[in-house]
Amino acid sequence: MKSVQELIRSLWVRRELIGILVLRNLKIRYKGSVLGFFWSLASPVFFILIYSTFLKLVAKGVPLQIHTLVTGIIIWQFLSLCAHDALGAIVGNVNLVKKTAFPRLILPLSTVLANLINFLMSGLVLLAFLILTRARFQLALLPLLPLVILTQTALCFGLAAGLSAAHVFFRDTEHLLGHVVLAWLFLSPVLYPLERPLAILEHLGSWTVPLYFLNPMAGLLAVYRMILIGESPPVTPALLLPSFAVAWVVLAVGVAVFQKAQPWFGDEL
Amino acid sequence: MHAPRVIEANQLSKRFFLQQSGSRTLKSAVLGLFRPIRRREFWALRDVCFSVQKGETLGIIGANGSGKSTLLSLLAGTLTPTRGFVRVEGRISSLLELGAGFHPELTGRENVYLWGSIMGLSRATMNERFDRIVEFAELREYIDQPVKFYSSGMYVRLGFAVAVEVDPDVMLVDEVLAVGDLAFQKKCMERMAEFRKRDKTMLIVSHDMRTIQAISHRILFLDGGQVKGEGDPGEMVDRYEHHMLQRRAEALRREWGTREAVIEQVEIGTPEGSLRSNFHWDEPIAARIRYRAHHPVPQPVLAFSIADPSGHVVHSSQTAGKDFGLDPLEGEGTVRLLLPGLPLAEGDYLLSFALHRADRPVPLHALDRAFPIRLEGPRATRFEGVFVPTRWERIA
Repeated sequence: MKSVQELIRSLWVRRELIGILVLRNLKIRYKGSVLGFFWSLASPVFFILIYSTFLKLVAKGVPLQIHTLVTGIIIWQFLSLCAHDALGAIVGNVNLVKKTAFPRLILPLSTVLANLINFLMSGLVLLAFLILTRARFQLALLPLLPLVILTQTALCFGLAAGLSAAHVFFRDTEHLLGHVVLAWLFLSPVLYPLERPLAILEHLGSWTVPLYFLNPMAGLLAVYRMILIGESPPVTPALLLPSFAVAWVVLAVGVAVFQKAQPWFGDEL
Repeated sequence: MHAPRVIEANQLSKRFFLQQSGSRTLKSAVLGLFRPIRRREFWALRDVCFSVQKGETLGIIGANGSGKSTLLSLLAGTLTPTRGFVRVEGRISSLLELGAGFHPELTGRENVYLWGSIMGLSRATMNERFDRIVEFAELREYIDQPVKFYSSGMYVRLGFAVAVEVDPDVMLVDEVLAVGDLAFQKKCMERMAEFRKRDKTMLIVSHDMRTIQAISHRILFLDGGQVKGEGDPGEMVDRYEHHMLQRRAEALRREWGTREAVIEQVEIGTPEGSLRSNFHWDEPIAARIRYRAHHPVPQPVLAFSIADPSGHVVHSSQTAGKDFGLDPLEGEGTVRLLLPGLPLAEGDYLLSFALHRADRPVPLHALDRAFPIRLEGPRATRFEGVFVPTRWERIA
C-alpha cells in the first residue's frame, strides 16, 4: 500500500512533465496536417456521416441502430487507440528511456491521457449528434458518466502499461495485438446492442451471463448506452459491478507488471 | 576538509545477456520454457567501488568496451545494477549524446521545455532560463522551427545549452567535446570550468588524455569492467597509455616460421633472475630464451631486435658474430642474452627473437615484437632516439 502511495506521489510531482508529454503526443499526432487538433472533432463527424449514410442506403432492413453503432464505435476507439499507442510508449521513446531517469510509468500514462482528451472531444461531437437526432438522453443518469469514463480510463491505462512493457521484451506483441483487439471488438457489444448476446447466452443457460460481464467493456458499454441513448437491457447492478471491478483489476495488474519490468528496459532497448 | 560524498558506488556490477540475433520473440520465450536458455552472459562492470566528493571532477578512462558508458548509465539511473548499489545525491544532468532526447517533430522551444521538465524543473524556472539557453545555443531565429530541420551542429548546441542550464548538481559528460566548431567548444569548456568553480560535481569520460588529465582532480581507470587504478590523473594516464601500448603490441606481435625448432619461452628480467618489464636505461637486462629442437639444427642462429612502439627497428643483431656462436641444437636448451643497459630514449619498446638456420632464408621460429618493455630515461638529460654522448663548448 505504501509503495502505491509513493508511486502516485512520484507521478504527482512530475505532473508538469506529464502535461508536456500529453501535449507532445497530441501535437505529434496532428503534426503537419492543416486542420491540426481540429481533426479530433472532425473524425467523429466523418464517422457518423459515413455510418448513417451506409445504414440508410445499403443496410436497409438490417436491424442496426445508428445510435447504438456510433456510441459503440467512438467508445471502443478510445480503448483500441490506447492499446495501439501503448506499443510505442516505451519502444518509441528509446532516447528518453536510455538517456534520462524519470518514472517510466509516465510514458504509457501520457499516451492514455492524450487519447482521453481525444475521446472527450469526440464525445462532444457524439453528444451534439445525439441531441440533434433526439436520442433518449437520460439526464437523471448523467452523474454516472464521469464514473464510467474514469473506469474506462483505468482499464485503458492498465492495458497500456502492460502492453508497453510487454512490447519491450516481446516484439510479437504488436502482431498479436491487432487480432486480439479485433476478436475483443466482436465479443463486446460494440456494433450491436447488448440484447443480442444476452439473448444468445440466456439460450445457453443463464449461468453464462455473469461470465459475459467479466469482459469490462460489456459493463462499460451497457452503462454508457443507458446514459446516452436510454437503452435499457435487462441487466442488474450485480452484473455490472463485477464488470467495472475487472477494469480496476486490469489497472492494478498492468501497473504492477510494468513496475516489475521497468528497471530492465534499458537492458533490452 | 572532507567534502560530503555525492556519489557512492559499492561493488557495482552489471551483467548483460548477449543474444544470438534479433530481439526475443514470444516463440523463443515459449520454447525457452522447455529447453535450457543459451545466452552468453557478459559482465560489463564487475565490483566497481568508488566515491566522489562534492565539487570534485572525476575522469573515467579505459579502452573501448571497458565499461565507461555502462557506468555512466548506471549513475544516470537509466540502467539498473545487477549487483551492488550506486547512490547519487542531487539532480543529475547527463551530456551523453547531446540532444538525443529531442523529438524531431517538436520545435526547439518545445523540446527545451520538455527536456527541462524531464530534468524536474518547473515551467516557471524554465521560463526564467529560456532566454539564456537560446542565447547560449545561438539559435534565436530558429527556436520555433521543428528540430528536424536543424543541422547537427545546431542540435548539439541546443543539447549542451539545455543540459548546462538545468543547473544540475552532478554533470555526466561523455565524450561530447569532440563536437561542434572550435568557437563553440571553447564556450563549452568555459561553461564547464565555471561549473567546477561553483563547487559542482562532474564525471567525465574521454579518450582525449590531455584534456581529461587537465580537468580531472582524480581519475578512475577501467579495464574489462573492473577498476584497474584510481588516483592522480598524471599517474593514471601514464598507466593507461602503457596499458594501451601493450595492447597495441599484442596487435603488432607476429609469430611465424617452419617450426622445426621452436622458441618455447622468453623470460625478461634482471640478470639475477627476477622477472620485470620496467627498466632504468642503464640497468642491465637479461633475456632467457628456452628452445626445443624437434629435429637437429646444424647451423643455428638466434636473432634479436628492438623496435619502437610504431614497429620501427632501432637495433638488430644475431648470435652468428665472433663472440658467441651457437652449437648445433638438439633437444631442449636455454640461452641467455645480456644487455648492460639500453642507451635509448625513455619510452616503450618491443623486443623480437627469432631462431634461424644460417643456410636457410626462412626462420625456424620467429616471435616478432612479442615482448614489450618500458624504459625510464636518465633524470639529468632528455634526448630522443639513441643516446649519444654530447659535449658543448664555447670556442669563440
